[in-house]
Amino acid sequence: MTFLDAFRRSVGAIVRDKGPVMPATVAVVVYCFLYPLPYLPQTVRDIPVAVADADTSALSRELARNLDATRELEVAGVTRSVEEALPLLRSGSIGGIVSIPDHFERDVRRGSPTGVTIMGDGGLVVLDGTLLSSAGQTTAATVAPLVQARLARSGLPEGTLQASDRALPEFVKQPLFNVVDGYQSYVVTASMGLIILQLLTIAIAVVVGTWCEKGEWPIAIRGRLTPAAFLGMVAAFSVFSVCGILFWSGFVFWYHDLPRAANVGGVVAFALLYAAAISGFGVALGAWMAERERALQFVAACSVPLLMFSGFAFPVESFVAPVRWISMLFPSTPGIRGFIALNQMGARLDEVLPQIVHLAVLTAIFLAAGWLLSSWRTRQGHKNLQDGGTRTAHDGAIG
Amino acid sequence: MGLAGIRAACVRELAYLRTHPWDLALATWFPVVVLTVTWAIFSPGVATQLPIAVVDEDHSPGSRRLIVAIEAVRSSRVAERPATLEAAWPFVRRRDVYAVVHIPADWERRARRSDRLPVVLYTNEQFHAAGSSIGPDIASAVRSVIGQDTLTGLAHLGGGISGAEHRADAVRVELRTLYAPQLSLERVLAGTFLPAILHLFVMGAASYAIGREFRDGTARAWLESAHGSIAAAMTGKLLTVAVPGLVLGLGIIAWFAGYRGWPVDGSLALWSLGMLTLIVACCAVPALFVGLTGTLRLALSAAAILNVTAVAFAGLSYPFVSMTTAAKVWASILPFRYYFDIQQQQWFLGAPASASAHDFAVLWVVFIAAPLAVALPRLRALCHTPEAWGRR
Repeated sequence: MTFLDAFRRSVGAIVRDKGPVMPATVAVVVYCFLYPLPYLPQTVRDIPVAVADADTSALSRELARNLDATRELEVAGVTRSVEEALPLLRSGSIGGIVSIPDHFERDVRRGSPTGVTIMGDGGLVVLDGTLLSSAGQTTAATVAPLVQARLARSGLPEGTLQASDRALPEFVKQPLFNVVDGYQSYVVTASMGLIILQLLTIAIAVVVGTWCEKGEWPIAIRGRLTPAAFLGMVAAFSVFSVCGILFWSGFVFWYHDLPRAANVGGVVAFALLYAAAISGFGVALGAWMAERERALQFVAACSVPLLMFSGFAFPVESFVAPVRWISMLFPSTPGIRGFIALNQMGARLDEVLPQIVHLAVLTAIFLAAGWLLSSWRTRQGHKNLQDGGTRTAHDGAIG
Repeated sequence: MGLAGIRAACVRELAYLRTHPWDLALATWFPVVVLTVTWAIFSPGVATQLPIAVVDEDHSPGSRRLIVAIEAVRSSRVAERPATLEAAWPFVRRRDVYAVVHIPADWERRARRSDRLPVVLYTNEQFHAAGSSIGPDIASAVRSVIGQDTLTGLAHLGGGISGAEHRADAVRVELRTLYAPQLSLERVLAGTFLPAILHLFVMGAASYAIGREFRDGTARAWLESAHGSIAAAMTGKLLTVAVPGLVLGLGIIAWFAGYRGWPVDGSLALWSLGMLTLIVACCAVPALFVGLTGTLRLALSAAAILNVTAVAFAGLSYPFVSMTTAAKVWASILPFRYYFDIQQQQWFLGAPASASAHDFAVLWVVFIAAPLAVALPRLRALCHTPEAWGRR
């Protein structure tokens, strides 16, 4: 069996069978519309809050209006006390409470100590952080003119106040790469590496699992798998992974207007390596499981830890040592980090050298594992057929 | 549906599991491994000592004071001190640092002339979690240093520093994170991801357990083992999936609320009932998929599509209220979303039982009763239709 024959037969094994062709092609496209769906607005907006207004003054009403005018917040109701608003928070109807104390406006004008308390639902970290930040800034901006007027009355030179008005902010937070600070830009770009890995691993493992069940590998002759045939199969499977990565890096990121500082050449080179790693991983897994449908059950259940290993939701520097070691065993870990650096951060290949070396080592390991397991399965399948065709119990109509 | 039928179907299933290590592993010990590793990822609770770079182009006593304040914050450590911003970017692209603090030239001198330049924090928002930990800490360090200079200015108005503090702090804005003031990602993220992962395993195992009877052509033997009752056959079979799932689910609750000591502000019983309901739903929904398709692969695919989007659409990583209508519609067909509401209400919010009634009702009616009402007659018919078996 030559490299090209094995390549052709392996491509055919995917495209002529509904089992693998759906995850390898259709799901790659469907996921680019489904997965970003919750994050489409990019930034958090319209969080319902209650204003517990014990003051009912012009200033407190102005604060409520200003809160409602922000993109992030929406005043869902005004109560006289925090106690009245708490049931709304407990039932999940609102995400937080802005509490304005009695005599708030009078105290602000006099310079007597007073304060606004802003409370957020800590069970939802993203909502809580946005609410506290937005409501805090709005409150400070609302009381600022009155505070300035009081400082002027207390003797601060007018020139100083005017200079203060014109002054630049003392601190600026500038997001890099994901310049809109968007959740879609952050989550979807990181997830690409995992989505491709999972879908293609499933597709490859379905093909290999099917061959194992039948005991007949179309790329093996009399139970013997040659290195050329194995590499032809790996190359064929890798084509689907590369196409998936290029579809996401090219079309999907453009379509959803996600950060693209793309180092195109670097992405292609890294995609080739990642695709080979996926092929090795998928072949090894499929040959180990030796069951057509098993990968669908197994791979889907592992999605959360595989994504978290990349460190995009919790920094790797904070991982405990055993987690760091385990995370290094999966191609998605260097894959996700490498693609973010190349696609979104515009890194040069030498700047992702640690990910390239890590991925190359994993690729070699998984290809070796895939080769050993495939060779063993082909020999075992051939022997079983010669011994009287002891195929697995669950033969059925495939395709 | 007799107890004898349930028992017989259960015994048959257990005998199968004893001889099929993959099925046994994916219903029992493998989920324990994945859950443990996932918890361990978030076990540090908060991110600390994340590497950042500081570019000090001012080289003044004030900028050095600012750097000392920055070095003192919990979330970050100054790992690099490049001379210019240009020299800092490669550190960012290599992910050697998550953020760069830039103190511009003339920063202190211009601040003295009331013509200050801003200190700029550049955060790598492709790693938003790191940036959101570092940002508030650096901001507060900068404001604390600048605030001292402001106080010195206000002290000239009389009353000294105490008078200045009185003027500057007359209006306070207090920010309070309710229910989880520790801001522990172990509680918030692991607390959500663990039940989500468990429901992926239970739904996959239930799909496999039912679907393989039709794949392998053993459906009639399965039905006959339960004395011809499809309800008994299903109950007996799915007990081998639901019981380990429930044990693990209650184990998750016991781990967080008991061993780890995170308080339950609502009802522990309702939270546990919510977990039971989720596990039962994760058995009922796959029954519907197998009943409608008669194919293990399609049932697993449908369960996988439903499952892997569960966390994203639940409202944890992005607030539900901010989602588009299409996203809200998709979220409404995911059983995990309703369990997530129950968990939030009973673990964090201390909500009354009435607040969770709607979510319980949806889970029991839409994701348990309705799927079973459709699935049981379909599965019974399929058990008597050998020509429909073996589809892959």
